[in-house]
Amino acid sequence: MLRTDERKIMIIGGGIAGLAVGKSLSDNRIPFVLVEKTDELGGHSKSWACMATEGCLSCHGCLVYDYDDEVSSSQIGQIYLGHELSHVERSSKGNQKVRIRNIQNGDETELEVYSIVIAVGFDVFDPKEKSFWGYGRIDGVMTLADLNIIMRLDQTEKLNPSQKDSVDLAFFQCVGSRDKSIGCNYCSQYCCGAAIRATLKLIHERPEFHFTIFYIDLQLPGKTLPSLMDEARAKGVSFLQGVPGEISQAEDGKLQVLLEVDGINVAKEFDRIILSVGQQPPSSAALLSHILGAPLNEFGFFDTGTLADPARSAVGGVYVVGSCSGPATIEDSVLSAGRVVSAIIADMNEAR
Amino acid sequence: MLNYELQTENIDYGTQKLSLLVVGKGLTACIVTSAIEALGLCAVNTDDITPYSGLFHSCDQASLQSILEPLSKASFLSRTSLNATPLEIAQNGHGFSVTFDNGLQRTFSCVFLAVDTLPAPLPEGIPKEAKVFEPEIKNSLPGQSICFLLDYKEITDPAIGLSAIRTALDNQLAGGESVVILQHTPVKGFFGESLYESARIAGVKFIRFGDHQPKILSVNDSKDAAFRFRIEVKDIIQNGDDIIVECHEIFPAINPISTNVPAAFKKLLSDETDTNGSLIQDSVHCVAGKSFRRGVYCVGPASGCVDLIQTLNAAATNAVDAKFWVEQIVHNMREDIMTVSDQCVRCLTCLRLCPHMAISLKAETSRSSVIVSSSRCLECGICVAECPMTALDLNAFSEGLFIKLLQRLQDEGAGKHVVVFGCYRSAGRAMSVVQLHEEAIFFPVSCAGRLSESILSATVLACARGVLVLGCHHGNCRSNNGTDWAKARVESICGRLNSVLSNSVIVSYQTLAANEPARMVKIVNEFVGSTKQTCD
Ligand SMILES: Cc1cc2nc3c(=O)[nH]c(=O)nc-3n(C[C@H](O)[C@H](O)[C@H](O)COP(=O)(O)OP(=O)(O)OC[C@H]3O[C@@H](n4cnc5c(N)ncnc54)[C@H](O)[C@@H]3O)c2cc1C
Ligand code: SF4
Ligand code: SF4
Ligand code: SF4
Repeated sequence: MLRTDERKIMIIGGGIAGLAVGKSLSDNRIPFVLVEKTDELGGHSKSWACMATEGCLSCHGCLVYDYDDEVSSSQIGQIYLGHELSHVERSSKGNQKVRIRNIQNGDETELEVYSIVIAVGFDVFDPKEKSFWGYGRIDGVMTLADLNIIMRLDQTEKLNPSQKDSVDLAFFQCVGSRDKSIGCNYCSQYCCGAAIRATLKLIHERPEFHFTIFYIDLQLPGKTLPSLMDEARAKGVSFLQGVPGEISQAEDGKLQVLLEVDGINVAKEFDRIILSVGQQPPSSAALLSHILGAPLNEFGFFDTGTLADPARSAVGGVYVVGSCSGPATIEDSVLSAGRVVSAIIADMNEAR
Repeated sequence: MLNYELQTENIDYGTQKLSLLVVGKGLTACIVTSAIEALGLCAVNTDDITPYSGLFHSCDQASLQSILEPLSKASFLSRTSLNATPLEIAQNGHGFSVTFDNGLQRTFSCVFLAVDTLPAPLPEGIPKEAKVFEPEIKNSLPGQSICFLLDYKEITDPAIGLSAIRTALDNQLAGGESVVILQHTPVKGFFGESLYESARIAGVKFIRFGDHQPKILSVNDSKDAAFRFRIEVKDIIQNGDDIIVECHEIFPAINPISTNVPAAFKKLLSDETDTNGSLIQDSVHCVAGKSFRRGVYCVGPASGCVDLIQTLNAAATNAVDAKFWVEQIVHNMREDIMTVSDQCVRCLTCLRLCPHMAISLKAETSRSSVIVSSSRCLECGICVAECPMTALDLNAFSEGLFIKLLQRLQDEGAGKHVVVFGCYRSAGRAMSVVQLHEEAIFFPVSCAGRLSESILSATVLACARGVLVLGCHHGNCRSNNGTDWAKARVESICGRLNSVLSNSVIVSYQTLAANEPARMVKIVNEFVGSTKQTCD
């Protein structure tokens, strides 16, 4: 029989989901090993900008710093940066032998762990996949991820280089989401809220910006988003239902799109178009799924069987957390981490 | 700092004092109770619980069954409850002392608020014969038609929308006819799109309206009493054609607004309600229904969440946090955060002001004393700053550090520097990746709430050219209102300084988050610049 302190949990991926699992395990004094392939903890949320205007708009982007601190200072956590899982020797009882590899020099380290949490996150959709959006080809078309980076560097003046009195910007929602033609027939969850918050933040800083949000359906779960939408409306953001046609560039540099208004085609012009790019399964999913035997679903995310038990994968002792099991917001990821830790504790108690 | 040496295997969670109180009687209370018990903790219920629906089901039938089945087991439901409503919840040692309406008084380690929602009233414009959609409605008779109306006047929460579409599908499959009228199709996770597909394939009719709200009329001319309602709607998919829908029943899917929260909880969490009146703030630190009072949790509709799956996750997350809290109580695990000196005159200013109920009075016949619970304290320092006797000090961010700073300012001579005070979790973290203006001295504090007026004015008097306070954005202060306290103090000190010192020193307050290093540099540079102007 292993004591609690001899049963280590291995977390693969140090994004907000993996960190939240680590924090909660640490709180409950369950030792853990966190393996992160890059040189930094935090994952995607570390690249997003703060959206606060008069007050915080609850984008949850800064939470990752709190979790990072808690995990980095935990006395019962080991952190391996720049490493990835290379081998697992499964055993039905007690600890499993795993090997992790240093990505830089290929050195392998052997570890004994009790169970494994997959927290490898998502990949940002690359809109070059469809030339239709002109991303990378037409100047002035950018993704919401690009916009976040500009805002984080506090360089929003770049969005209005010729210092015009009035700038028209448009968001295209569901880019790389809800699109059967590219196998992403699911909603990415975060982007309706993120686009609305970004318009509020940008208008707060640059009153000369005017926004149009093109959407299929707005997804505004929870208690704050509907009121933020009302606020955006009140500040002049127009919400238009529909998917605009191909983007083209006029001689003066303006971006043109065709859209249907009351059955009539009209052309609209914008200075900038921001593509609200979706969440894709992580590139490392296939290899990990192979090493661990944990199956992927039809979209390529880790399968968790039923909605009733989203914490456990189909393989015993392997748990799934955060956006690697399907698109998620930061709040969803943090909540799913609690669910996983609860499942780990329950399974440990049962094994006792 | 936590003590990790503990072995928790031999804690007896069953002892009365360590049990957790669950307030509520419906599905949310069932979920919370089972989440607590899954961790080996002991839950005590205020009421007998039954898993009647108070949450909306954003999942398929099979998942719903596997969620509800264990919660409907007789062995789970036949637990004895207190059968009482809490009247008063007070902090007690490390736990809570609860007085109930039947006179019972007991101590608990944690309290969980898990009450279900009450249906919202029908919005104006909908005939009173209609019924607000609830998670479980009876299928209609074959040949009868039911209309589900989403997004009427206000966008419907996706969980409620999905629940309505699922009910529409069930009704259709049972031989009825379903029409769903909406503005935004709810598509949560992978389930949303596939549900929408299956509903369409099964024959559920979807009508989508745009900016024109549908008109709902009740039909009461007795000739054609078959249909009770007529709906006039512009379908934007059909080129904006006017469509008339007639149906036997109409269920508007409305976001619930009111919750039946016991008054004792409202009092306990008085300043923690959000803009919609739900308990628990809009603060980012209230993710999952954690409150600013350690040991007080709020799950489900009372926290603004009506989704079954999300509530399951929130219940598990809070239960895990509660286990941590219970173990802290048993082992008194945290090192002392604060020192109370014998300067204290027991005026209880600190006890009144502490937003986290961390301070209590230990009554004794000889000399009562003020006790700070390190498990509850979030180091906001509001009490330290407001204590009239300066009897309190934070151990990790002590007064001594300020004195060193003041010494340094005096040594270096008048007007050389501006001092930037910043909360360590926002400005402090941004600082780790930037280089500040050479004339700025950065001084991290546990929370902007710690910056008393006396510290601010002492810094000014110690020859600083200006003092900039960087708090966290309102709504993101880890201790809830520390940053607002700092703002008020800066405003008050500006008023006083302006009358005494003419305009030569600037004290200013700005807010910042950890992920705004570039903005921090800009704010500080602008501030340094502005202090130069006034000096010249
Ligand atoms: C443009 C954009 C803006 C967004 N804005 C918001 C917002 O405002 N609010 C919000 O709530 N959500 C937002 N999101 C969503 C948010 O980013 C995700 O919810 C969140 O990052 C998910 O966290 P995660 O830990 O699951 O995944 P990730 O953040 O992707 O982290 C996964 C981690 O695992 C590591 N990893 C991957 N593979 C391996 C491997 N094989 N071995 C070891 N480590 C590995 C990665 O390096 C990474 O550190 C946004 C998303 C995008 C694309
Ligand atoms: S807006 Fe986002 S990043 Fe900014 S303080 Fe709020 S949660 Fe943090
Ligand atoms: S959240 Fe909104 S923009 Fe993102 S995929 Fe879903 S519907 Fe589209
Ligand atoms: S505010 Fe100061 S003097 Fe008053 S009770 Fe608290 S510690 Fe004592």
